[in-house]
Amino acid sequence: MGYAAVFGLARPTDAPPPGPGRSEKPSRQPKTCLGTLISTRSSMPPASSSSSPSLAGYAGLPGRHDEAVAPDGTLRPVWARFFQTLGPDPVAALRAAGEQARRSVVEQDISLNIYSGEGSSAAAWPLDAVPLLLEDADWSSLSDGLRQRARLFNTLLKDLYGPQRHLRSGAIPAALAMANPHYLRACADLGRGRQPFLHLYAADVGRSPDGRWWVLQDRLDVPAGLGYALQNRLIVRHALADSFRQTPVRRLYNFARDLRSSLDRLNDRSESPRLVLLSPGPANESYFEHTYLARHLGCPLVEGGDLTVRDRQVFLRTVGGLRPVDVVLRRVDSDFCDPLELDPRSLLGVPGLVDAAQAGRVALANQLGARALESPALLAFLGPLCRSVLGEELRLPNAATWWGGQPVARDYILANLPALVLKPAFAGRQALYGGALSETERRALADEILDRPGAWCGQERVLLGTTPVWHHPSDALRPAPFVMRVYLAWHDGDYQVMPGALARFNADGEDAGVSLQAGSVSKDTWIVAPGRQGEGLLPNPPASASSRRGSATPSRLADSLYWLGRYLERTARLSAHLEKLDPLLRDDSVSLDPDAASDAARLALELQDNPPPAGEPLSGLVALARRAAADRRQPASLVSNLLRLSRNLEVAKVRLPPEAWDIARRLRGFGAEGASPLPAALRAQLATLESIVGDTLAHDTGWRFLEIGRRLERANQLLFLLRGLLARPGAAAPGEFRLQTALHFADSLFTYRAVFPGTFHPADVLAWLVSDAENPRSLRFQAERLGEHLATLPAELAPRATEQLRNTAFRLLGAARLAESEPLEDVSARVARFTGDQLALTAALHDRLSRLYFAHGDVEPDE
Amino acid sequence: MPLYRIQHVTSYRHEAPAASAWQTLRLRPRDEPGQTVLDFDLELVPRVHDLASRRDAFGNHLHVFSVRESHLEFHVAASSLVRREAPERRERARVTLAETPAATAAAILAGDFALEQFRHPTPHVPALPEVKAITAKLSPSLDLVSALEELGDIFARDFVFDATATEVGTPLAEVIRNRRGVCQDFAHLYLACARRLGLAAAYVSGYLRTEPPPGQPPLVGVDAMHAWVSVHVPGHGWLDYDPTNHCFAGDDHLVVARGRDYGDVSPIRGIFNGGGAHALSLGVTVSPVDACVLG
Repeated sequence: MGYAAVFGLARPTDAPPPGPGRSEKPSRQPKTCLGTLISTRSSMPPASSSSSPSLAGYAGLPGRHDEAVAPDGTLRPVWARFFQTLGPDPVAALRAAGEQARRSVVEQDISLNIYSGEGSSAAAWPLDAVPLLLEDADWSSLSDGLRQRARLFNTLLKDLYGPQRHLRSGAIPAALAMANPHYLRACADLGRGRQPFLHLYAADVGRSPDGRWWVLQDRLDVPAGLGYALQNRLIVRHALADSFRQTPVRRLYNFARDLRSSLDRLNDRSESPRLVLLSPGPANESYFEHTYLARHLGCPLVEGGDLTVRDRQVFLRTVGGLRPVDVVLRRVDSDFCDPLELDPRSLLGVPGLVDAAQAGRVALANQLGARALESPALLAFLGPLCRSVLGEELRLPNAATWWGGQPVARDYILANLPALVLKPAFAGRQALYGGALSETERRALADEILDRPGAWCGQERVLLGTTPVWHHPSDALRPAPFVMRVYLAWHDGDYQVMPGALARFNADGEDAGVSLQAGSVSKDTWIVAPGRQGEGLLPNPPASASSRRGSATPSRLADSLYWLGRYLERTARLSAHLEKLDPLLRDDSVSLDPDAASDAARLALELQDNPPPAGEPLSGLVALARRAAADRRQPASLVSNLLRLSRNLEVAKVRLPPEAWDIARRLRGFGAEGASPLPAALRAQLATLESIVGDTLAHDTGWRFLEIGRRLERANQLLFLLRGLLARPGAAAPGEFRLQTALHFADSLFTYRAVFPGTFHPADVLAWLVSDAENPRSLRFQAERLGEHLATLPAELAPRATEQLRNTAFRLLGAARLAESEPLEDVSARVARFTGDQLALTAALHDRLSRLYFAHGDVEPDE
Repeated sequence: MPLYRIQHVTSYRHEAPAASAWQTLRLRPRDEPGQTVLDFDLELVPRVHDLASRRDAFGNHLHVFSVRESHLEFHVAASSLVRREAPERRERARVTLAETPAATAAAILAGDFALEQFRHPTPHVPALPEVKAITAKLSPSLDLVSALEELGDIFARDFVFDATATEVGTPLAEVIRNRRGVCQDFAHLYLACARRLGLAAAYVSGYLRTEPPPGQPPLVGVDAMHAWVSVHVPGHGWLDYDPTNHCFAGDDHLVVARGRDYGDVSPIRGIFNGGGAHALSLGVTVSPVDACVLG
């Protein structure tokens, strides 16, 4: 019985015959490990004598395969043609392309969240504009090998979560599944359906010294990076526009287009399947990619909290109630997808998701549990498995691997520790270079391996091939070892390979993992294939599809958009208010009514929850207000509001055009630690954002929520202003300067003068600010808009509660309209009463709206 | 062949209303050699509308449902009628303690691959160096059945049953240090020893009859769910042992679920939307039924 397992020991993976980098004179060569590790310690040497004038002295590294330069020093044809397209000065062209690419990354706010200790921060996406060029014939054989591998893993996963024939036969050692924490028992039987287990598969591949492609790692559970690969293409295509036009590069369009249709077909229960992309949320390292993919696929980007399971069916919580979901494109690790049946500590999942999958009511891409076969230990058995499962030889080799669970392999590992890379069989630990360990460390590791041999693998170390990268310090091309992640997706009964890839190299020249987290740089990959340009160009993805049925807007998105509107308005009003204080210090007319100017400055403090000190002169109050604005600890300060605006912008970004992304980036800069927001500069950005929001967004339900937030906040800010400047118990009727100040701070002075030339009467001013239908800053104007927007929101879920909400807006409108006709004897007392009443109404509006639409589907239907 | 009626009532009391909840139950006793479930009934209050059931990876019955109405309390009443035969007593095993690991490995290679999962550390039964001191006391030349009994003797001598000593989350290392625990701790610790010895050993959750047969002393663990272990004896099959009561399982041990540790068989798991902290109360009665009454 154990033969299959023992069979693979000496050369467990059908490893190719020894090549120059593997066993011949290994000691002479700088050794690195394949796995996920590469070394560039010996890379970046001074440029050697020039092999080609157009390459400015570029040369490969000894003992490694180089993509651009053949061992005899000549340029490979595909690279030679590429350099010709760069014009007379290729170095200058590449330098310019690099700058262009960097600008695009910054402008489009492409980011990668790097986990660093407690906080995480977004860093600009690292991209080298020099593409990796591959010949189509080379690519085809790699593709064939990867397709075979995808089919093999799909079959193995369906068996592991199905009949388990390969466990029973011993082809896969029992412990690889049964002692594997990523084998999810709750998902047993999920492999039995007709649908593929793997919808998306990715492999990290590298080039061995003899020029063959090697698989370093298989990505089965959540193959990340596809969105970045598509984005890289858009940027590099733009940065190297002439070269791209002149080079027959295979297009990504068909692959990207087919992705959506193949996802839809995963669930054949529904005529028009509803797809969502499940993301861990903005804190995840690849959140940018999730927003990008959701836009590309035209599906809602959701988090666990947006979904709920009832009757073994997944639903999306929307402002119109629950909408069924048929297919989930999953970017959350399997283990975290369902706190009920999987890891109970997870806050990212959806309780009941496993059961919905078990009931066949929802299709997951990929199906839950795929990580079980990401274990490096499996590589020791892949060759024999491929023969017995597919009846074929495994086409692509992987690094020779020994799994300690077998006594012979364990002894081999222990005897060869210094020569191997030691990897935990089931993750949880970093891979270790045996050679880099001290004698003591090595002994400790040996004890650990002896204690639990099945938990460890040994893997041979292989030199990674290099490719030209732009080296900033020397302003020239240098060779760097690289790995390439290739994506395959299920389509029409087989796997389709994306003709392009996410290539990565390590920029810092140290032994380190080529992980996006650990500072590697990415590249676009061009498959050069004369005569295969039939495909269209990859389009820029649209802003996230706004559903035609407005009621299908996800509740959490509506919530974010509403708060985006509120913080946008609040930040804009507050910065405008602060901006208007400074000139008061220089304005002689302040002497007409110094109290009015002080009240405006006091209000700036009160709006930021900062009680103004008594007896402070105007200049002191203005200085205090400015200081308060930059106080990050005070939640009501300008900068705190700005940070909340940025956060909501992050969530809502997927709905906004690229211009808004650039503003999002700048606003983050204003809110950054140490920066003090300058009201004038901030105002300019906010004004642009306001105009985008007002003029370019589709007026769909999501936009309505944003507008409701803005209108409600504008009404509130106006009421605060009226109360702060005109409601002063016991004071005489407000004088002309005070009335002017109120109009000025309400952005209504200019329009008022046009309508009431030369006169400032309390009745006129209040009419203009409160009850006039034509002043876009008046309370009535806001109430009318609120009424209009609320009337378009879905009512079917809770008709009575909706009616109450709309009535509240009507009462606000009524109050604003009727304010004019009331007698105006004691202005102060009336304004105090009026603003108090209306602020209570706006608070009620907010409460009702939140309960009705943002309760995320837990609203009890009221009838 | 005794017949038992089992009533198992569990109540959640939240400090604030829970808007909704999702729960799994493993309360239906297993159908297995020596045990037949004649009737099973679940009563859930408030009522649920999507009660579904399936078998989990260990063959246990799993119920899954959601509660959609806001609720302060939730009640689960499970009622089972089970016929139980006394397991065949085995005085000696054909293998010694020392031979068992290799014999188990052979069984795994021969196709019984699922045995493998019962030989490894699990979240509730981590690999603890302290366990060595216990297992070292067993003579490798003992036959496996006698070895299991002797391990039970060590438990009876060195560990004290104390209902107040631990909670569900108490780590095993602490149980070893304090030398006291409840049936769940005894089971986990016994599993740690058995697995250290290279045996395939499983966790069993179930019930004991509440009132002892006339003339016999009552067993420990009668007023709640009980836990014991099951060890794979090569050439024979699974053999259930109750380390809390220092005996092999008899016809008054009623099996509900089997798994690698408590985490695989927890009778009730719930995720609540709101609700704050909750208090849990449960009551179990297991009474013999006169077969004649049933007719």
